[in-house]
Amino acid sequence: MDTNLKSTERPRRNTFAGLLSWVSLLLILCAACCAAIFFLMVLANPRTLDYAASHLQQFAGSPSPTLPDLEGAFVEAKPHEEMVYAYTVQIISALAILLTALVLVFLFRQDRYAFEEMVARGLGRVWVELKLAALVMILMMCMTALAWGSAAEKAFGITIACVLTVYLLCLDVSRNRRFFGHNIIHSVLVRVNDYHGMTTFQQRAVRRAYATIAIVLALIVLGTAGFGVAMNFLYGHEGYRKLALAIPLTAVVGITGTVWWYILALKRDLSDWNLLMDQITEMYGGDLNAVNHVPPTSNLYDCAMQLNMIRTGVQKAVEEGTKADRTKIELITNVSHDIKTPLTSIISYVELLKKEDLPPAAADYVSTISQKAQRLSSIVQDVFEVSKAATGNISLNLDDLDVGRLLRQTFVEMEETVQRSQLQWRIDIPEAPMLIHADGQRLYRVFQNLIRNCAQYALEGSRVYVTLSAQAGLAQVTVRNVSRTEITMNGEDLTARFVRGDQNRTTEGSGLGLSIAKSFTEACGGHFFVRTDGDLFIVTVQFSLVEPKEPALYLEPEETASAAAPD
Amino acid sequence: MDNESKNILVVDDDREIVRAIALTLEAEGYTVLKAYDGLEALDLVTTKNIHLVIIDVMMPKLDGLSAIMRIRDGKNLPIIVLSAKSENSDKILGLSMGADDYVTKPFNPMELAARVKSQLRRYTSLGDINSRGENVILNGRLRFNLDEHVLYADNEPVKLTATETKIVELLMRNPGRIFPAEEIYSKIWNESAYSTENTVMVHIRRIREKIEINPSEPEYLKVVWGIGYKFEKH
Repeated sequence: MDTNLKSTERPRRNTFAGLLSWVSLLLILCAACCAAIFFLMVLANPRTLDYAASHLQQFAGSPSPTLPDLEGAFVEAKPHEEMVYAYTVQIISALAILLTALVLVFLFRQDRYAFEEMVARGLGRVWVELKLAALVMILMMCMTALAWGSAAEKAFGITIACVLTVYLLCLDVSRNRRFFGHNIIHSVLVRVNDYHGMTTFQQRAVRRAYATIAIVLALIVLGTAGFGVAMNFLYGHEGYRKLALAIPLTAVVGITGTVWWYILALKRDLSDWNLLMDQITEMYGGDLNAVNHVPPTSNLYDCAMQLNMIRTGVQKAVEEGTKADRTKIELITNVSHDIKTPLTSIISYVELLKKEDLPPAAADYVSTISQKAQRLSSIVQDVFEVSKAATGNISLNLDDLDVGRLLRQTFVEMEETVQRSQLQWRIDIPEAPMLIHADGQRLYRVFQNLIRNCAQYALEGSRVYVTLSAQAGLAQVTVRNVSRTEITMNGEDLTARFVRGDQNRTTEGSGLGLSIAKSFTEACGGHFFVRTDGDLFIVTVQFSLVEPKEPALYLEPEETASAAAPD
Repeated sequence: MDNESKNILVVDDDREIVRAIALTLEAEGYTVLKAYDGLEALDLVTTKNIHLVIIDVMMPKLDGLSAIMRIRDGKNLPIIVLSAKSENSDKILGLSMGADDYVTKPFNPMELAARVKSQLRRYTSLGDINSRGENVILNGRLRFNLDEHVLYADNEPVKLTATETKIVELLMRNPGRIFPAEEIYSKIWNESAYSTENTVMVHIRRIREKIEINPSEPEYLKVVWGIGYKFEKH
């Protein structure tokens, strides 16, 4: 909020070293000023020197034979050696102290700057009114100081006070931009402004806190003042003691009551908070219709109402989402129905045409039409299925099944595709059953699509690796093959609908194979990943393994035993 | 066969589809009657001697499912439903309304003709099978003669090898039960083997090609994915 400081970004410094250095600097400053004043005084009155010397001796505690009658015999001559000795010791120790201070000032100057900054920051926080008041007080103290003490004490004391004051003033003015700006009126205005910017709840809390403080302070002042008045002015009157005691007692009762009221209000707020948080927790837990228990009189009622409004909004959004999904499904169902009807006619008449005695060229055209019509038919069906799966609208027949067996069944079922594919299939499926919980029919479609995909897009004569493995509670099927054409997309894009490896779309296929595989896998609760590495194309299907409910789910005991033996 | 005497009613609001079906079936020698909505169909069913009905679900005036229910009220004749809806729930609904078969659009006319043939055979031959008192297992259009060890599909013997016949007999004796490949293997070959899936599966596939109208969408001999094989009860 306050940007009084010119620079706040400085590396951290040692505060103690800074303090030491800073105090040393102040010492040197004071010493220099005192020396200057002393010099002036000596110039004005040469006798001052002797006076100072005697004081120095006294200060140093050196045994001075002239000490008892120092005051009276000011001008009395002293032994010269003694004087010289005393001066030397004092001067040397003073010089040593000053030298040490000087060394400290230079040695830790970086720390001192940081410390000065800290002091300046502290000064910046003080209202200008207080600063002025302090200044006036220092001036007044100096004035009062003139009335007592010796001349030297006056001179040095006032000098030191003035030096310190001027130093602090300079520090403040030089470092803090808003010297006059940071005053009480401004602060009050800022607070008032803040108060207007607060929420109702905050305003109430602030009002309550200030009211409590004000009442307690007022009661303390009134109680003390009343006690004082009663003791002083009613002294001697009848029952003045009782009155004098009754006033602070009342004040104490009042303070206790106020504090008690404040605590009660806080407790009520706390319980309302709890109600509100309970509701939020319930709503987060999935119960969007959680009841609002916050009473209308509560400070948090606004908050609770806003929460209710959010709930209404969310409910509306969810409803609209469901409706949009339903509309989408309806649209796709209708469109696919509308496509299927004319398609039926096309396929039927093409079949009739085939039976006619056509010239060879025409027969060729008809067979092309027939193929394309069949493909269109399968695309329509695929689109329908993938959109249903993507919106979670497919019915699943979940069962515990052996994924290895399913894969073997799929390969036998697709024997024709596999053999026609001109690929070398390297299939590694362990014999040991791996049970997963999934819809067999859908999972068959997944692997069917993956195998077809390989047959269609893999490089002729290359090897296709299909492996099943179990690790960390997951059954993982990996299909790896080398693409015939360069893969220019990443794995994520390839599973998008209607995307095909060959951008010019010359090959067969709806472009929905991977998308269907992914949708069905995910609908059954599995994970489907596509990764490409150069021309290498890797699909991974993962399912959580389940423990068999009974060891022999569908095997008779003796067959289980024989199946376990390798022969 | 005397297909001439069989009257088939084709009902669809799309006239071109009706014509295509009619042409296909007439080529097979059937007599085809045409109707373009449910009410017309009901009219013809009551006035003419119809042997089989092919009916679309979505039609004006009276939809296919309601028409089926009305036809079923009075007559016991095979009904094949045509529908653009391919969902399993739609199929089940159609079959529970009294339809005998369900064909989804777009269909192959040859497949439809095969289904018509199958339905008519069952419809006309059902009576004499029961009267003969043979030791048979009946399941939809399939009949397994336990004395002769011969499988009949639509009253025609299916050429099966000895192993295939054994598998069919095992599965048809336990319709609906799921057999893992190991169990089929140990029961048919009378020995236990470690890797049997392929052997059994290949046989199952061959059988399917012989007995199913559309082997890629089997109705009787089904794969229970990841578990085994079963014979569906019809």
